[in-house]
Amino acid sequence: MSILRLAIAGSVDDGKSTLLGRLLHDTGSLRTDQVAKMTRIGADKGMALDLASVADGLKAEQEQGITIDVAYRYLNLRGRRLILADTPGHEQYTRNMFTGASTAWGSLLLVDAKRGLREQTRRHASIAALLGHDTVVFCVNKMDAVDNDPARYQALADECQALGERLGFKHLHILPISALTGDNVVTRGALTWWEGDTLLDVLTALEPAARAQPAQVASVQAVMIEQSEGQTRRLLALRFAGGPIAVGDRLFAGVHARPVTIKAIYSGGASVTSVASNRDALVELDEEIDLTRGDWLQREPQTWTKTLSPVVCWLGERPGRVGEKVVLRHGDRWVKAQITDASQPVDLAELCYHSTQQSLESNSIGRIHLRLAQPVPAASFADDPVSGAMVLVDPATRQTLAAGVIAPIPGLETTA
Amino acid sequence: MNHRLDITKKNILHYRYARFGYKNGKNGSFILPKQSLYKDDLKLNWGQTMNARLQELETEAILLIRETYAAFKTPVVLYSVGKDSSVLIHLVSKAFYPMKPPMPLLHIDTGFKFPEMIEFRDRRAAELGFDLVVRRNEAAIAAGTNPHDHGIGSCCGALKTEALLSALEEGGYDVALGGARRDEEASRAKERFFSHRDSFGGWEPRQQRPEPWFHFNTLLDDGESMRAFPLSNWTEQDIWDYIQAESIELVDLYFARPRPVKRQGEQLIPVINADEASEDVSIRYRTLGCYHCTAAQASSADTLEAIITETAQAQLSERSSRLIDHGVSSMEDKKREGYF
Ligand SMILES: Nc1nc2c(ncn2[C@@H]2O[C@H](COP(=O)(O)OP(=O)(O)O)[C@@H](O)[C@H]2O)c(=O)[nH]1
Repeated sequence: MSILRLAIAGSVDDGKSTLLGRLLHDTGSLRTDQVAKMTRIGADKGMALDLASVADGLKAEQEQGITIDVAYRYLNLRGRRLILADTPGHEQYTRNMFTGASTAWGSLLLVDAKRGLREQTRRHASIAALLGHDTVVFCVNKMDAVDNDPARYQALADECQALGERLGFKHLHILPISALTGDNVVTRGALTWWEGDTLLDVLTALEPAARAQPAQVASVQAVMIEQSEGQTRRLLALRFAGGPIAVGDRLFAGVHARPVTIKAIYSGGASVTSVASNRDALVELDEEIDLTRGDWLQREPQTWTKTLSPVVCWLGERPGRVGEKVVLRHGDRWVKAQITDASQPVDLAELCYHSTQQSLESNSIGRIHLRLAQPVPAASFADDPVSGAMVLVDPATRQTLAAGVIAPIPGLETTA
Repeated sequence: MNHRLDITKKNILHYRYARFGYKNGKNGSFILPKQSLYKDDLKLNWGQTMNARLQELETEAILLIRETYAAFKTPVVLYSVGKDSSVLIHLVSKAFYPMKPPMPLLHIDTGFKFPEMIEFRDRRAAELGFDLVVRRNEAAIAAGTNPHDHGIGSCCGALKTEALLSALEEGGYDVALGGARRDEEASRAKERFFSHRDSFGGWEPRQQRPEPWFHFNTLLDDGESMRAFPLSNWTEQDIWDYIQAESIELVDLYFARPRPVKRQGEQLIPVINADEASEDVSIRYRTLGCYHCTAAQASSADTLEAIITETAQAQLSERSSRLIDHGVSSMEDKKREGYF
């Protein structure tokens, strides 16, 4: 069975760490020394188990009692591996939330039953949409704090439903839980009126969307060259998303679309006849052509462009400004670029674009416009996550500034 | 008994010359300085019985390994001889198959490694076709640094961290691959696949670079370097399952055998020196480090199957057997200083 890769997100204090501790504890994923630590720290705080203590690892986090960076946890749910990225709730650490959510294909979004949906809930849901998560599980948490009131749950569930539909998630699950008491996490507990699945039932039934159609483009991650007795042999390590590349496939190399044929493939340390994107691929072409890291192989010649208008999450500590020069990692290539024209930040309360502005604030989401020094093939992120995504870096400080995708987010395509 | 293979500075320079000498300036790719493909020369045997979980983890690790080769000038693989690094070097071999691994192994020898580890290290490196660089903090070793007189923290600092940092600097390695896993320890759980180090080798956990998808920001300033962790998402269970699926050879210390030990509180500490008082107990090691600081466990698990069963039932987490990791946040402190 494939690995479940999920991120757990939500506003500060909505109960992410507690839920994580609860899942680890109730699924028997903790060793005795870890349970002893939960008990010891809990005793200091006057509770039976400090479930949340399992989450925070850094000294600064323990001192301040907050989560700064994403932590990764590994659980076996009924024999199925779950990698859970436990992400920080503070707006200030959105870059770390984004990091954790980017390698997941679904998210668990927590909502505090007392406080309801917050701007952070909408920010995190928008980031999940931006990242192409097809599955979102809204957990209306702390039901014990609202006397397990079904009416309160229903009102919040309706809001979650509306948000999830607006952002276009394919699979939407909404359910009430109490992380602290464990109700409806692994067993139903006090939430006796709930007729749907428990969180564990929901999680174990999730599946990532399969990508069966053949990959349209493959990025050359590395070129390995070997010379023996005057002969040169080049192997290309490829990155692509989707169905197989096979020996004999005719592909087009680079912007000039030079036709080439796959002569040999190595994967998993063996010679194979075809390979899909869920395995590594090292290929040899029928001709020695000068391909380098960052070049593209195309199934059909693609449209190449020197302008892009991605939706980005601005991760840098300072705002992004119109006119500034950046370097762009697109696929496996670094391309010089400039932010042209005004950007359109997303209004997270209304879930629509603001009117254009000259800068994009830290931790905000918005559409920007880029002029590139070299043409790139660019598909929409939903069609091709390899060529549809990019990272912007400050050439002076080498700090990562933004991560972006070529995509409309369905629910955001209106302007205020 | 001295199995050490000390590589002098001259040899390291020679090695680097070999690398750069073959570097193809135009596209930055590297031409292997050997005459033929290696598959027939190398002792590679790997199985084909992986489940989907192991395949996914293997694919991710290979992608990360190739990135260290493609995006950096001088990669090196940290080889501690333990089970995780045994998996790592196996994956490095696979990532470049049918070519020879284009990056050397670096082993930091504290002088307190089990003799079996040294013998195994030299043999496996040769069998898989790796160049091997061994570095020791000779000054600290000559000064008699040990955990009893100097404390575990400063002993590790001198024999491991200092030796590592100077080896990385002298070798000019801009990226070092390690076999650390996020499920080992709380501060490791926070670490990126590509973990940035300042020009002093230090880690700043509050300022980690964002790492969206697998679009890594691999850019470095002068003197800065990167640590790369291809096994980040592997658990102890995955490591053992993979070792079994791939028939990866391990140093015999992982298997239960009658061995001389002394008792120290609850823990069984190996006795290396034949003059010391000891008793023979059937023990094995769950993790391997320096013999002073590695507690053995009484066990009868003398096969892989038995170890996998024992690991699944273990009541304590893995690092509880490493004396050095005790105390809240000690790993974070060591990592800030440049420890792996
Ligand atoms: N009553 C109640 N309190 C909860 C529940 N889950 C979490 N909390 C409390 O909410 C606070 C914040 O929880 P925490 O897990 O640290 O939130 P995080 O910031 O999202 O990780 C803590 O005081 C928890 O004990 C719940 O289900 N019911």
